[in-house]
Amino acid sequence: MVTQPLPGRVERTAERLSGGLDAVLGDAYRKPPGASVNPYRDGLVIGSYDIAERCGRRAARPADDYEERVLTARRRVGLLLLRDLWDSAPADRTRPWRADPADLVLAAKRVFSYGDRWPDRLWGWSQSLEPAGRAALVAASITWADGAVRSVGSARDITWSDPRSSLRRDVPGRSVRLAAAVDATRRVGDDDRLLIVSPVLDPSARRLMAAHAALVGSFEQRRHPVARVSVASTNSGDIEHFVVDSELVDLAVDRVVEHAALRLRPDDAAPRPSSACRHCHVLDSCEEGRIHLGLPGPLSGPALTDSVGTQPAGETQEPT
Amino acid sequence: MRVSDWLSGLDVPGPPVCPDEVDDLRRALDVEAARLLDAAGVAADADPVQMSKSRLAHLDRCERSAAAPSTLRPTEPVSPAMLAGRALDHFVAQVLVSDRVLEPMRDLRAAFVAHGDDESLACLDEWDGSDEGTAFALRLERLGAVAAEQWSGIDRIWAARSQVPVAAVFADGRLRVSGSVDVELGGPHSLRPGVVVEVKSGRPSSHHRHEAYLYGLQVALRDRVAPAVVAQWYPNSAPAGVPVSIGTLEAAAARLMHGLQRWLELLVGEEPSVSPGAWCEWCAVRDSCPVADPSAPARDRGDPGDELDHRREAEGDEGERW
Repeated sequence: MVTQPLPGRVERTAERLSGGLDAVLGDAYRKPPGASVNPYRDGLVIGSYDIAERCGRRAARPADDYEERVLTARRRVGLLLLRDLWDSAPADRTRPWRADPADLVLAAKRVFSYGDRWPDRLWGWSQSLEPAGRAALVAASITWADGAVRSVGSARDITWSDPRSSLRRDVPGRSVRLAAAVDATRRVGDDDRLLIVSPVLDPSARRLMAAHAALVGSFEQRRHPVARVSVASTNSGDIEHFVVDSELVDLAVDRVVEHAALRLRPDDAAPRPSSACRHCHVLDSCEEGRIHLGLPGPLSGPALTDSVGTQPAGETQEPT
Repeated sequence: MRVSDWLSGLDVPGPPVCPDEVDDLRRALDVEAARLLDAAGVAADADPVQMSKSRLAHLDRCERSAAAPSTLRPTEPVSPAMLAGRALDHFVAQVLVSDRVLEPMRDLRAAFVAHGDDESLACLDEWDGSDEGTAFALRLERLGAVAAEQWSGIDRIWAARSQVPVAAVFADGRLRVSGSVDVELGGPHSLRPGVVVEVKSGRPSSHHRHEAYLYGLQVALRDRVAPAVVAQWYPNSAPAGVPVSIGTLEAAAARLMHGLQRWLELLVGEEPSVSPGAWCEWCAVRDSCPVADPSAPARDRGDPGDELDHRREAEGDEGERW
């Protein structure tokens, strides 16, 4: 049964999203008709992890020091390995196909020998590594891909995502982009099902990630609607399934609007200290976080008073 | 004995632990963890309590040291002994995909660069040109050579993977047990039995056996099928493997719950036991501890590599409050 919002409901979702953003952003991040704006440089990009972030202060000030490393690259390279296995499977396969983890090391040899299917910057980075560094990337990517295969259990005919692209929705009239990374798609009857492979264990965070993917996916031109989004943890072996309905999509819209408001007025963002403060990029100037960790008061440095107004909160790099 | 030969000769007795037994064990752990957390007054919306192999080992050695917040730790530099364990992990991972380690120091630096491990790179830079650095370089030569010799040539049918993150969640998310398996081979989605191997660079320790059992438990909970064998591997020795039975998993579960109980008791202020040993050397509260004595004889000297693991794991759980 199709529970995906029908075209009319997609329009309602778009209106609800635009209306919500109008209410919190006002004229901020407006994009003149016909203008070309890079949302990563001059706008807002809101991803799944952004709306799942529980600390408002951390969410309001995304880190701008992205550097490629094995931890950030292994998923995208792992997807290349799985897609290579699909491409290398026998053309006359008569049974539904499933990746064999034992073939991942062979896939790695092929994938690392040419860069035409890689995201450009990722290929460039991998080539800048010494052989042992690339071996570290290969090893981590195989581990990720093996976990991804394990997470889908006995399911067949999984279409693993192209790491060069992700689900995207540019909000009309705004330099605001919604982006959702989905790792696989599977057709079941007349419906599409999306899979997110993530180490996130918190159930509420998983629901938000699924909601965000459902929201962004609902705007895509698809032959088949997205009926379900699953979030799988390769660490714990758990997988949760979320039916795509109005409630899930509206949840995502509300969180996107909340997040946009935080990004516009970061000083209004309420912190939520937790063990995650240890790794937070704003810890040095966050009194609540430092108290929570038993550290001395905020270090001297930029105070948390930068008012954004209509200017972007800061540059963020798009991982490609 | 090379690991590939050891794998070829594995005699796996009988079928692995069945999923129903694993499910029963998970339910029992859920119930016990919830009971302990409730007794300690852990709120439902508090940050999850984190347990790990390093925390359990630390509790076994000295509770006062285990309970000391790392914010009290002096900025103790990473020692070559600590970094040797990390180096061996990288070498084994490298050999599993490339069958070789040609220039250990250069390869290790390259691995650190790829991982963005600036702390370890800074250590190498600091030691460069010193006696300490020369000794470490020689040690790396030995570790690289033994990793290449003993871990190469594993048939790809084993689908070897390295540094596999594992996590088990209990009591509606209030307890998390996380870790990273050094090497996993085979398993339920391959044609070979599941094998878990802990790679160790230091001296054998009784804690290492318990670590392997804990990882066996975590893998079993993750897959609902237990690995057939858990093992520790030390350079220049064959893996020391143990077949996994429901008893093995239950023993690991009991140790985990005992450790959780002690940890919760310490967090609410119960007096910790103290036990001096080599670990006093890197203990955060050694300056104020009346019995600190790194030279004290102990059943188990501990492994400096464990201290590095403990630091990195501790960085993820310092915020426990309720």
